[in-house]
Amino acid sequence: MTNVLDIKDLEVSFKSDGKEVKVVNGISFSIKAGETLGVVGESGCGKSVTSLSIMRLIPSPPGRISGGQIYFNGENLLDKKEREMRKIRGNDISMIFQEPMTSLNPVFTIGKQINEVLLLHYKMTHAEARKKSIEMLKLVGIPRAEQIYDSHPYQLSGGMRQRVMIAIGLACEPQLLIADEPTTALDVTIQAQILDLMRGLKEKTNTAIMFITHDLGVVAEMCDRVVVMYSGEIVEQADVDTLFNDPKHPYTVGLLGSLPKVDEKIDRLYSISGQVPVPGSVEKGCRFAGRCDHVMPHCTQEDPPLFKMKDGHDARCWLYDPVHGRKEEAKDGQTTLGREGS
Amino acid sequence: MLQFVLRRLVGMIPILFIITIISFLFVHLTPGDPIRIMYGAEIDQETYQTLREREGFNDPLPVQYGRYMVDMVVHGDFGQSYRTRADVSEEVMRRFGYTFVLTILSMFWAILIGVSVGIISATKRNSIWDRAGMVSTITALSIPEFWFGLMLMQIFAVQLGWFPTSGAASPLHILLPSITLGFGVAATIVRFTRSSVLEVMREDYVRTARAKGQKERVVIWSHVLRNALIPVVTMAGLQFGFLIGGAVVVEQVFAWPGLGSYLIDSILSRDYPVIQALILLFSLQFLLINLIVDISYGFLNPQIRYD
Repeated sequence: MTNVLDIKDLEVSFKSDGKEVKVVNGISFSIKAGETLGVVGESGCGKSVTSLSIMRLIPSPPGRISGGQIYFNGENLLDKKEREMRKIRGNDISMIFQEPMTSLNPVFTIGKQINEVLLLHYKMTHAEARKKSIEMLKLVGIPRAEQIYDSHPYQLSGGMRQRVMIAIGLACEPQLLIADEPTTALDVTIQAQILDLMRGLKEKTNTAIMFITHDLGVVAEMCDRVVVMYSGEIVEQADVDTLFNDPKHPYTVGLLGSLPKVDEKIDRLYSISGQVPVPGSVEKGCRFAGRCDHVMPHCTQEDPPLFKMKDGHDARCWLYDPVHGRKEEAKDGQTTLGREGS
Repeated sequence: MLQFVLRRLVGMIPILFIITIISFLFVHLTPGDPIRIMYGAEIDQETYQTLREREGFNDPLPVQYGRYMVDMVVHGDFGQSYRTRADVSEEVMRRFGYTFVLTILSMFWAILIGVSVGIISATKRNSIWDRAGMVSTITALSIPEFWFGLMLMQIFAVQLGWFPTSGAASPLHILLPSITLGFGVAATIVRFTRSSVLEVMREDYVRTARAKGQKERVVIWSHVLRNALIPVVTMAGLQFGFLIGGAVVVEQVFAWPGLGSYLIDSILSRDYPVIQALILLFSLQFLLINLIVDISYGFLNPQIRYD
């Protein structure tokens, strides 16, 4: 399968108080056609900034893509002119945002907002756009689609609005859909409905999805492969089964350990101690060192590279380095850190 | 909708009633005697008393107020001017058109300049255009209207000779006074539009519009502006009240034969019926403009329902 998206060494910087701070620090990953890639990490780890960079929608100033390449179907998006980018946005790559309550324009009807993207990218008459929009509303499971077409956003619930956002996102049959925490603002039952809907649509349309979330449960349900981000870096990537069964990076282990389990009774959930470092505050060494239970002297000396575990499974941790890592564990290559808290 | 308008119109009646009481007391309790001002000190005590009796000034205030209200509400009679003996309503109607045209045109300039400069300032934030716009608004807000009017007159009418200095003989005559009057309001609208547009530009739905591949120009003029104008319209409606006040000064400067100069002359000579009628008229105008603003909300903001 070919890669729809190939990100190489992406760096994004933001200016604050006259100083430029890297919030995304050399990220590389790719998404294959029809694949769903989960991007997981705490708030502020650079997930959303990465996704906005792909759309070239980083607010600038203060933000700036300061390095790397973003290949979409083999073409570097960072070389595109704004006019060329506009043809891609909403058409080849589209995006669903976290806040359905504020992501639709309150003064326009739902119909007008779906029509907008259709009329921008297709040669269509208004009547054709209307027909297609109502079709899209039905596709995303909105009842009374004709009526909703003429409604305004305030007349719809959060779950309905997110369905409308998905309809807008998929209207032009994009090759890549970026979903930036699409279920975070919704309650659990609606979350499940939206996830079902997205999974169903993905099977129908074979759209590649970049699914940004901090919910590991959602990842397990939705994704084929997972990228774990921490403080602007990828700390681990693997296919979803490997990641859940054999996590390598202490941060991933900690994240998984902090999930409640159905079959165990515990008084207190495990949590990773400490805070995500402020971007730019760690000068050298591993960014997770300050919170890591397995920290070694070398960790604070040098930034760890991504170590290849096996095919398609990488972890950014000195534990897996033959020289500095734990010799006896590294030898058999089967290191499995104990799941904390279990 | 029609019901809403009717209800609002009926609701104006008690407000206008209270305004008649206030304006009546305000006028009659102000020191100064219209008879003395009109005839000076030459007339003897006897004539003075006869004249006072004729105008009804010797009756208790509630009786005078009752007579004023009965004449106005029952007979539709606003009385006669003490100075000219002319019918107040006729004179007011004749002059009202002039003030109306002047304020409407001023408001037109104010909105035209205010909204466009506000948008440019917001979209090119911190640029030289934005800075220039902000400095000009501060200046415009600090300059008194009469001085600004005189300067315009000096430059464009006296030195360049492009426009007539004063009066109302041709359509060209209205240009300088309307620009003078609209200038201060334009400055307020610039600041309001700028902050409102900046606020809306940060909204999620603006990012959504960009993510659809929409052109920046359409994002601003359609998605941002429709939302950003809602508070601007409210503010512009309120500014209309100040515009009426400003018209009094500007009409005086440019000898514009509207209600403003009429009001000043009437106040100076304590011409009670005229002052009362004008206060009532200005209040009514203000209430009607607010009603129009409220109705226009419905077109801007779909969440507003008139029931």
